[in-house]
Amino acid sequence: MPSVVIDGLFWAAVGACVVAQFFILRAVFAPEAPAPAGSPAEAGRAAGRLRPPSRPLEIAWAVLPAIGLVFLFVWAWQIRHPSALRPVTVQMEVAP
Amino acid sequence: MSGVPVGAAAPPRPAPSLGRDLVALTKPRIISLLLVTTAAPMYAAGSPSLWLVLVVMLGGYLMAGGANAVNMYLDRDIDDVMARTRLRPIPSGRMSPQQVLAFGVACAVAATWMLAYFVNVLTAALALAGFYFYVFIYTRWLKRSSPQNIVIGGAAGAFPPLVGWAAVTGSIDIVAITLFLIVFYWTPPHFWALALLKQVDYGRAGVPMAPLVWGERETMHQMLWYTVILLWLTVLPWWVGAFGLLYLASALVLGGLLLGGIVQMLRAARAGAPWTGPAWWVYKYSLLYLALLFVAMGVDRALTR
Repeated sequence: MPSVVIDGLFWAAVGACVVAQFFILRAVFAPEAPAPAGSPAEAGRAAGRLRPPSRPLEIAWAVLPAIGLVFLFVWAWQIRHPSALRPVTVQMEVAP
Repeated sequence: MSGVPVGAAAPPRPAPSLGRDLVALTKPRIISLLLVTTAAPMYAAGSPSLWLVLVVMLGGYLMAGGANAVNMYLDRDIDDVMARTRLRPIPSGRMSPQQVLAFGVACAVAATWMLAYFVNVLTAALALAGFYFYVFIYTRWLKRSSPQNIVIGGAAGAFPPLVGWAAVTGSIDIVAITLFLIVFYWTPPHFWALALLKQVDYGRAGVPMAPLVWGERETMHQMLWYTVILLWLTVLPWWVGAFGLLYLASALVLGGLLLGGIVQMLRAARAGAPWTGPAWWVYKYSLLYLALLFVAMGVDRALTR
């Protein structure tokens, strides 16, 4: 398979994951939805059994897997393109 | 066993016995899938001997079974409230909490020793990390405090591929980490399908599952987004050259079916039509999906080796 197609698939994966992760994070930042009347959620909240979760922790739990994904994609790119993402070394010859 | 409906149409239950209860504490049906996600990476990582596979399977079963028993000890108060768990050995009074805790810890100790002695220390450490993650991070901390309990707690169920890989190679590389993340991102759509169907139970027990906190529709959307990431993650092992086209085709077809099932459920919910049928399908198919995906990895490597 041509490397352009293979690299294209990689960037398609990155793009899809960025979009999906955006919607995952958006749900965490959104205000809590009111429970529909008569639903198990309403019954649980009314009885005090369901307490609202800690917002900072919820954000942390949603961000953590996203960091893992970034780490994985960078690692994968480095494996297929060993010369990429490494510091460029410059060699200079100094005339005597 | 108050509150348990008894009727003429109820299927006959086998007579309780200590042996049957001890097996029930380990949740054998759940562990069977964990063992598939342990064994298949072993064959993908190399050519393990039958002895090594058997030892890792037994050690993995004991570790996961021990974690499940300790989970039942910690959740004994809510197990009595939920219809799904009311017949477990502790709420039904067949075993004492102390007996269950001792059994769970003994299983974990035996598994740690077995994996460290017969396999390697890394394998034992990874399996033990999965045990601690399930018991303390998921059951003790997140299960009753966060709607993302299944997301982060899902990491506990993602340890088996690492265990299988480390047993054969003695190390962890990008393929092993990808397999870990595949199971990690598979867990939310799988469990949220069940959570959607068992909302009443979870609400009664005060467990803040996603449908109770975010609502049904948002939970279904979240299942969709996690599955999108899952589908692309399954392509990554092929992309780095770990597996061939047979695996890639399997991953795309199997993942496409899962995505299709979730879209169908979401469409039904949006149209105000009954969505429980598609939700059951997603729950059951997701089990088959993970098993077949991991089998495809093993078969692909066996054919191309």
